[in-house]
Amino acid sequence: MYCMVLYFFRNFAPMENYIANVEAQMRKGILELCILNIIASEEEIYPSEIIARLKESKLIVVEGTLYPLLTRLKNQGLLSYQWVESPSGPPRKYYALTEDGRACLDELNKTWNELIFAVKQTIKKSKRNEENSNS
Amino acid sequence: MKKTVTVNIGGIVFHIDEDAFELLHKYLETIKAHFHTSEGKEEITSDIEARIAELFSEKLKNGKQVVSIEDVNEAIAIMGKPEEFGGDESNSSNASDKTKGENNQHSDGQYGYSYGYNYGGKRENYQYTGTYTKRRVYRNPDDKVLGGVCSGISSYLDIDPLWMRLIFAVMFFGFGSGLLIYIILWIIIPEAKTTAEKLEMRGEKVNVENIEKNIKEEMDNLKNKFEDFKKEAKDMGSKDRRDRARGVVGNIAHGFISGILVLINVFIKFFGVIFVVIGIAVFIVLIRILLGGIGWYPMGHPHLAMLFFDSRTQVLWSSIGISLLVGIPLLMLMYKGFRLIFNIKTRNRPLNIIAASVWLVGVVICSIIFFNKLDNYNEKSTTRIDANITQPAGDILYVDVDRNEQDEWSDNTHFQFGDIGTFSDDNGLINFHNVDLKIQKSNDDNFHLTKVQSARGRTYKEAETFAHGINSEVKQKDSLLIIPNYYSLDEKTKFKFQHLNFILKVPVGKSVYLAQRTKYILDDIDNLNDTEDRHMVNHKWVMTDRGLKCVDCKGL
Repeated sequence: MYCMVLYFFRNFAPMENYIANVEAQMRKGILELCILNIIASEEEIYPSEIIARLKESKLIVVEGTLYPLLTRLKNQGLLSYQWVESPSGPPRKYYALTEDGRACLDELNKTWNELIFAVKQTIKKSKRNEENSNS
Repeated sequence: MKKTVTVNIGGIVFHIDEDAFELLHKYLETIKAHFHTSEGKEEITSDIEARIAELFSEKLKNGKQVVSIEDVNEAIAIMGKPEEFGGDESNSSNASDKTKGENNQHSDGQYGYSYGYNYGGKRENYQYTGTYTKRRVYRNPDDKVLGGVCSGISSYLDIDPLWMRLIFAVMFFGFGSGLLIYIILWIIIPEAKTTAEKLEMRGEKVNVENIEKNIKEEMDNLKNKFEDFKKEAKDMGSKDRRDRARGVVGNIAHGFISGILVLINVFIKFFGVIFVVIGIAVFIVLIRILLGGIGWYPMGHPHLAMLFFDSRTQVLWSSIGISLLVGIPLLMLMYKGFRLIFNIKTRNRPLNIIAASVWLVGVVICSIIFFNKLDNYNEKSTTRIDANITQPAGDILYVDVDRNEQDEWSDNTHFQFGDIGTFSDDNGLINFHNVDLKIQKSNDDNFHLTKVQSARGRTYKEAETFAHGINSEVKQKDSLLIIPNYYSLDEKTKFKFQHLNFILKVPVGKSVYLAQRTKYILDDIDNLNDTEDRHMVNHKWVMTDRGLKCVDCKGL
């Protein structure tokens, strides 16, 4: 909501805002999925590494986004962490998936694959319809 | 050189520049506000703090000891501003941000973000105008010689601080007014302590275009409001005509008032400038008077001061009293002026109270001295002394005036009361010029000259003594009578409204010739020609039974 208001005031082109908003919604939905997957790919991982990977895939821009998500996932019981001394700076929180987290991730991945399939199918269908109507 | 602060971030101790600390502190505050209602807010913020600490540690690896503002900016750029975080926490942050006086907003400002402020209760939020921050004057603690006043004003006016310092340095030699103004400004201008204030200090330029822009924005705003009201009124239709009418009238009144407010804003600055200019001008005059630079006030010269006062102590107290009486309102005038110019809204009650009390002290001192002095002039004494004159051989007496040589400003003249008198160390006398000459009819066949000397005093006896202390010398050469246009007082005497009046009695049938210079002392002399004093000179006048009559006036 705040985002929408902010975007609205920043650029006064409603259409662009709409697109930006939908995109933001989409990214937000899959962000948690991606984070869980990244954590699952390692035994233990600390936030900066997660961020580096997310930045590679251009899913997030700033680090601040990650911390609330991690906290929430941890509070849901999907993640656990342990403190590890760092050579530079304060001790780091290394995150790992819990049993629940792994189960949840499997479920989500399944849903994601179904979604991809469904979306592709829809796009294909509508394209075929377009071609038909054109000819 | 910069002051550093020691902070504990995520359990690690850092030395951080003060400005960097302010920025970081603000940033963390906004983060806290952002996650105000989120679950696990402490954890989120401590995670972010820990990450910032890590970023700083990396920065400080290669020999660097202090976290600078650049490092903080970098860290903020990496962590991102709350509105860039996304996520559903932002729903709640909207509400929580609103409750805070300072609201973090996106902008391209110097430090990456700027703030909205409370201006005297009226909330001004520049959420969608980016870098728009009203510039206000602050003392600049980062670039200061004394109090940072000059550099603060310079950054307000967008000029090099050197010029401002130069102006103050030059003004310092103008009877210390520069120092005074500096001190006033030092008191009234707040120091830019927080980063937000520093941003405000450097905020949007205050120039003609921006003032114009402000007014235009205000007007647009007004117009929009007007249209809204119009629409509203239309929508209401015939539902309630009376309400509608009130709406339109209220709207017009509202628009009118807003328009006036805009104008007032422009004028306020104008008045501020005027206040300051008047204040400074009068102040300089006051200083000059008290130091005796201008020749009409007795405070400056010790001898002259002693003419009016009984003792040195009294002179000192009078000076203090008058300085306070006049000076305090002047200072307050300048103070108000500067406040208006620089849009300073903070109240300074203690200052007002102190000023008022100090002024009252001035009033008390002045009243005591005034009533004490008034008592010195209770009684008036008038003495008549006949000056012996020899009767002229012929029927005519030529009257001329002996002008005081010191009328003209000379090396001997230490002091001059305008037309009233001069003072000279030379003969230890003070010459006053309030001498009058009257011409009346003589009761016998001889010319007579009477000196009427008057003075005031606490008692009649004292007044009499002072009246007798008036010295004047009348000279005569045959038929030429030379009357002085001044009288002298002893150096040790006091000014007691001494006055000297010459009365020349002319017998009927005899004449007087009034030389050019008598115009200085002629005092409303009755004559049959109804000629004014200044036209009576250079003429021969004969005394008749009914009064003086001109003998050689043409056309009369």
